[in-house]
Amino acid sequence: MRNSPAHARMFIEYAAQEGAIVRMLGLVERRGFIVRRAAMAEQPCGRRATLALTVEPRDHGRSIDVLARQLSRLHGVARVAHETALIQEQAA
Amino acid sequence: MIASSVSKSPSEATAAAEPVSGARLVVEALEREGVRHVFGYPGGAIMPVYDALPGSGLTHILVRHEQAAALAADAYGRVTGAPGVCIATSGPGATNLVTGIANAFMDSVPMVAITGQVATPLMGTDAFQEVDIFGITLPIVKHSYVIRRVEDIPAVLAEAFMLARSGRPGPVLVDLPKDMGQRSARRESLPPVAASAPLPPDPEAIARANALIAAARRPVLYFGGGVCITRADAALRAFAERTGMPSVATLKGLGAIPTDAPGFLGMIGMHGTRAANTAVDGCDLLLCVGARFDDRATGKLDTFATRAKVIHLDADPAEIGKLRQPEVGIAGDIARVLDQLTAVPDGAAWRAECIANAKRWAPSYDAPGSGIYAPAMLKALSERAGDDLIITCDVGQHQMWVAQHCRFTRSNAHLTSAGLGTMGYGIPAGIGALLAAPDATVITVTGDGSIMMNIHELATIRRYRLPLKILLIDNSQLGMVRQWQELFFEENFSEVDLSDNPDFAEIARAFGIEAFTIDRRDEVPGAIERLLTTPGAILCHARIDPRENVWPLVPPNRANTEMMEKR
Repeated sequence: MRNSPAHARMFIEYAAQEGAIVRMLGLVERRGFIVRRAAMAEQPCGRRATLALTVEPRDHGRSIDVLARQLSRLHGVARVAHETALIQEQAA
Repeated sequence: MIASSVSKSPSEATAAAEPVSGARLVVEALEREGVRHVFGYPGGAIMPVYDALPGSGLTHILVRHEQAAALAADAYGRVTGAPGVCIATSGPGATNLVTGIANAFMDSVPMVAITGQVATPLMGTDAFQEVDIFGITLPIVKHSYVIRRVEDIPAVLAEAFMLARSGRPGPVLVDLPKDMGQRSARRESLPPVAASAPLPPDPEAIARANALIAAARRPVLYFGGGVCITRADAALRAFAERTGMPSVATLKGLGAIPTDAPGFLGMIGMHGTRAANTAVDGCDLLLCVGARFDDRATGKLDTFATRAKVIHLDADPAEIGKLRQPEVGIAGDIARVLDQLTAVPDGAAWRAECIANAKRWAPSYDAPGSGIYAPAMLKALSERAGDDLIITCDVGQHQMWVAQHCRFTRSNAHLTSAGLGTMGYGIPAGIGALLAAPDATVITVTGDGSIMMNIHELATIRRYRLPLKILLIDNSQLGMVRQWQELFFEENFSEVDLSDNPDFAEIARAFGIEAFTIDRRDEVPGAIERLLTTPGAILCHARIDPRENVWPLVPPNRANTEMMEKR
């Protein structure tokens, strides 16, 4: 799948607790984004994990910055980073 | 040491080392959090907790439907600022809580909901009264847990309470499988659970905000429920006085600045005042404090305050820039930030203009005829009730009349289902408010549609002898829907007729509650007096003209300046 300019890649570092993945993916979809890719890696300590997502907004009114802040406020989410600019560069 | 209540005497220390049931650990955790009232309804999976309740320091309020438990806990949380607690069993008990949990989530109310669950070996087998309440509520909770180890109960509940009340408050769900309540564990030491400290205000952002305030000539202070939730009303009032900024409120913000304060222009938005909407439209600086640019407040968003620079101050960083990108966004403790906004605008002429507009466009109460005019009755009732008044509202036309016409002098005295718009909120919220503030004068204002959603809670009022004053405004219609069908659906009145309503006064009396009915305007003063002076619970059934509408009104997807006025 080729990334379109609207795609954004996100990296979410979180505590690997019951329901954490469903909670995060549900939030992304409810807030108006389509999940195009998802990959998860458990950290060596076993309690932390990273979720890598490629997401696409459903309309122009959706902000990836706002989505990142909404994910950040979930309990158990330690860090959220996104690389919109990088994706745009790749698509060009 | 797990709790301040655990004694250090040898015999009690031995007792503390004895294994106790998970249900006992739940009850002890609630006691440690200072919980006094819990609202609930027993059933199979939650029975171990109910077995542990008698003799505890908790007073359980038995409602007649679990939805009422959650809505009462919501109101309790709003009034006290501490999480309201509701308890239900698995399956339908848990799903009946859902509306109340969603209500608390939408309005950022601290709540802890405890649900029974089938025993862990049965989970995932479609067992009797099994439902995945953890999954069902994921979108409407701040956080949630399934108890998997009895030993985890104290720590999970301590964290649940911390999360529910900290930052932007909200509901937290704890799902307790039956075997977790029945199994025993020793009390273990509980590490302190601390909320993360609020963000310190960004000095650079504060400086830019002060510069914008100093340069403004037509500023408006737009405040919302975030002020009430964070108890920042004193700082807000001081700021309003210091700067002289005219102010407007959202539905949830009403009372944070007294509604009769000079410079307060009223509610903004769909049923806001012309003075408030006009001021926002004409301002050159909009200082948004604890509000979120909700569609009911802004009207068509791209027409909202188009000439204004925006400063957005909120406890929740995720709200900054969600719908309107501000010139300055400040996330942090609202009161602390307001205290640092020390610049004063040169806005005396603008303030005078806004106040003159508010006087010019003040509502008129001289409606023709001899029937009861609900706005006038509500205004008189709130003025007569005094500053100890708490009004809990249902949803519909009467809700907007309360917001438009009642006098509120403090925050969290106007309890309304603002975000979710839950018909049926009023009476359970009245129960919660009375238990949280027994010395307050608590009035539930409801409609003939809304009251039927939770009318069984009259039994709860009677059981606990709660002196709730209920004003039922009856237009024999689903009035707000009818109004919209009249105005926007070419008078195609569809399924709004409630002319076959029961005799509400008779129903109240059947529940053991004093009640009376009025139809005429000249009966209103006596009715208000009777409502407020009767020692116990009482219901006043006021029949009004079914054609009465809520004015003004901003049509959907229109600018707030395109208000329709009374016809």
